[in-house]
Amino acid sequence: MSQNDGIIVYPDYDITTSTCDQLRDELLKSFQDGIHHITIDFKKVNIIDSTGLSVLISAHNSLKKDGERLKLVNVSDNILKLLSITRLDKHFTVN
Amino acid sequence: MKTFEANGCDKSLKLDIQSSFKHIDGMIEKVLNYLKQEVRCFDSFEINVILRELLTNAIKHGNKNDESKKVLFVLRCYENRLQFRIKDEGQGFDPVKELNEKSDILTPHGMGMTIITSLGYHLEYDQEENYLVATKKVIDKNNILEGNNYEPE
Repeated sequence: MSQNDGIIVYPDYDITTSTCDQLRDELLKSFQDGIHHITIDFKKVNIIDSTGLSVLISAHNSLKKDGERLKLVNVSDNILKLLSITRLDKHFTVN
Repeated sequence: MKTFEANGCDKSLKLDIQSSFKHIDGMIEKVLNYLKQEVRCFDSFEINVILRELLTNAIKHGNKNDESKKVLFVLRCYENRLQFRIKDEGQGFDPVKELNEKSDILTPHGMGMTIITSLGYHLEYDQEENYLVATKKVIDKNNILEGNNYEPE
């Protein structure tokens, strides 16, 4: 679902080593389509591991070149805790 | 996936899996089910995350994604401690270098280890047995485990 010149991505799976390629492909397609405002809705994400976090980091680093930040919404308290201990909450926009 | 016996006074569980990411979810489910039977209260999210990092590390870096190899896992609950032991068929690694290497912000290298230690687990490497060992001290009140940071003795 697009919003202005950006996009909201809705993964309905846990973002882990065995699944994160799906999210990576979706984000890569967005970049290739010239979309640089990306929000990921975590409503249906229960678990993310370090490999999944590395996908978010890669996306964020790509967005940062254009002065943008990766935005995460509907993040659970548990995942927020992981973002906090890895200090990624200071870099991503988390709501 | 093979299941070994759980023994008497110390609670323990041994499992092994083929070295493939597709087996991680099944192993974690088995461990969580075991803990539900043996322990009334524990942080399933935290244990899910820790196991995921340990198993991914063993499959990816230890066994180099070679599905013909195995990962051996041992869970121990003893003396108010929860311990995970992971063994792969790799060449081992330099524990001082790897365990002390913190991930830089916005670079993913070493993030798994950072997550494990930040959640209160003490990591050590059993070079003799080639086990990576993650231990957390817990408080056992009437068989209720509560998380607490592990302090090496």
